[in-house]
Amino acid sequence: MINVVNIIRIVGDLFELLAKIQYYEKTLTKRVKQLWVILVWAFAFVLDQYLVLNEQVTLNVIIYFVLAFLCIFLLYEDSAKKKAITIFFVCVFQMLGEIFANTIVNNLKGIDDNESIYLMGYMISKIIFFIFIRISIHFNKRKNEFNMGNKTFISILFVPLLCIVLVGIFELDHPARNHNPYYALFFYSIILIINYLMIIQYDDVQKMLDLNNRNRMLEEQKIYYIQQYEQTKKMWDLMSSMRHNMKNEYVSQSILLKDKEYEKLENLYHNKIGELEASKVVSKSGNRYIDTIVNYKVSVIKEMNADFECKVLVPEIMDIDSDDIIMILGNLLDNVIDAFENERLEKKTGRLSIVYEKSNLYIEVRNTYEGVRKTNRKGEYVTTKKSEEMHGLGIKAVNNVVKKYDGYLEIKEEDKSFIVTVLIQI
Amino acid sequence: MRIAICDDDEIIVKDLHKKLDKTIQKMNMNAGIFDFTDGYDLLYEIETAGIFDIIFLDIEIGKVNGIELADYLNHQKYVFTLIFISQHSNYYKAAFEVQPFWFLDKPFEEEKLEASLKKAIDQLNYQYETINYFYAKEYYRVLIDDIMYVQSQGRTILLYCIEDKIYRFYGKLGDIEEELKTKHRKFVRINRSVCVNIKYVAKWTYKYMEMSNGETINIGEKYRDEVREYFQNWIREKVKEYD
Repeated sequence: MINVVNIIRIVGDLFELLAKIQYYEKTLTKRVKQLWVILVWAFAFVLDQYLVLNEQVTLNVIIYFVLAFLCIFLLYEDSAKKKAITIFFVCVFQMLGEIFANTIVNNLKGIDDNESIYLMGYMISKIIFFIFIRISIHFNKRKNEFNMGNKTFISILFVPLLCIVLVGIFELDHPARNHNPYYALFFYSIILIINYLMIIQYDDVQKMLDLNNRNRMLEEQKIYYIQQYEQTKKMWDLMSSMRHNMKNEYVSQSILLKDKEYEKLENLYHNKIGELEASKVVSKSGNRYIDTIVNYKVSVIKEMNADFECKVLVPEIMDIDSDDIIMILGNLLDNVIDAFENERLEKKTGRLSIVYEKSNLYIEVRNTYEGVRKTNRKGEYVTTKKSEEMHGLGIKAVNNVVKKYDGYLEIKEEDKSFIVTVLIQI
Repeated sequence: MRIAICDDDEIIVKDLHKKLDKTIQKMNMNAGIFDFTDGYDLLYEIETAGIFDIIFLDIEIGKVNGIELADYLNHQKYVFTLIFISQHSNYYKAAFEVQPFWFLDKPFEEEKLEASLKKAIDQLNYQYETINYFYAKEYYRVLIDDIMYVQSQGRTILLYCIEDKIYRFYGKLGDIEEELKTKHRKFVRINRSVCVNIKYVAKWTYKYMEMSNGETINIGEKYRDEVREYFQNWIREKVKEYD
């Protein structure tokens, strides 16, 4: 049916949709081109207009959520958790906007024309919604991605979800609302404020986590730099002592040669070559960040009397953040150190390979470990901890970096060894 | 078989020559070893008498850079296997462009030398493997090493080779894939109709591959995990080569 009311309704809905899209664009990351975003939303809008014309409230709400979830899951690439939270918050703001408008309009006295009241309420609700979207965008400018735990997710999600339920119950309980309109207005304002504060809180938590991660990494980096300095110094000292000894050595060699003590001479050379081989640093790819962290961590590992082999085959310059590479290698090698610290571990062996091939960085860390083991009722040994738990927080941090590069992380257990493989495309 | 040793240090060359001689006798091979202490001499010999099968090359040979020399030979489309007798890691990045190759560190241990030689011969054999077929009453032989990827179009098999050459014949991709994999081991199926030679993959991503000539080929959804697995194994093999 085409009449003025319907046209205004559709225009209002479009306006609301644009505000919503703007909000989603600001908080989520697109996975497709702008054209697709517009097309999908337009399609959802038409479908929504067509389906929502019936008067069943519950059905309308379900259609609203199904369409919103579908569109968002198709168009944006953030984690499902973040998407769910965003949708629920938008829904609460939208709902409260409408209820506010409704309450205000219902309490306006003097206008008897039902249609104008409806239109007015309608427009007020859209304006309130728009204002809230603008305020939220203003405070939530950054797009951040962090892996929140399930507990955090549920507690954050429950705020808008419970508010929706609460408002629903309150709306059905007409006598209470009719009793005093100001009371209702007061009630909805509180819910609005709670939700708004929650959004700000949610943003703050993200910021804090980011900051914590950063600080931890800077702290690590500092240690590596000091270590690098010490290594360089050690090498320098060694060099000067070598130069000093050189003359003496040549003298003794020429004496040996003169005396035709060939066997002694050969032994001497043999020992010298062995010494040089032993003082080799494990990683000398020329890639400063990788060399520093690998040499440092592996020196720690070797001090634990472990047999640890390293192969670093990477170019000097790679297009990857130094922070990220330090995060990955630091955490993975720390896990090796943790595993080797276990005194019950008899055979401490491991291997590290870092290879750059076909625009991909491949990192494999393999080490023996002594798992925490427990017997079951039959007396058989059972593994009590999953490999992820064994590796603790470190792996989570690595996983975050891997995700950032759209990479692949694999943790395997193979005859008393842990094998962690990272493959990131750079 | 012709083997060249090129290092500016004559003592090193003589030592390697002696040890190689011993290894060759042990392996019951028939080969001639030629010594060079100058990169230009090596180049002259190659251009007048032909390429060597295996070249032991130092990275710093007087004024000549071993990497550049190898790169030049590669560009001349010579078929050979390269072993760098050095441990210079600074040059690794540059060495990336030159394939196939690996490093053999001084002083030369006989066991490692033998392993390297075996690997080099293996490598050479791969490079000479061909795929043979009849098409339009003519007999064709195509060097497998030159095939960038194989594509099936209906009943036709297309071999896309280097220098933009395309060969065609009738067959099933499954059969060709099997043949390539047994003869060469470097091929991997990446979607329903394409099988690529990993040697010519410039960039691998989960969803597509970029070939060295700039073409991109999508990896079929069902094949992606398998291809990733293949790629990982291929890297693991590669790591083993640097023992």
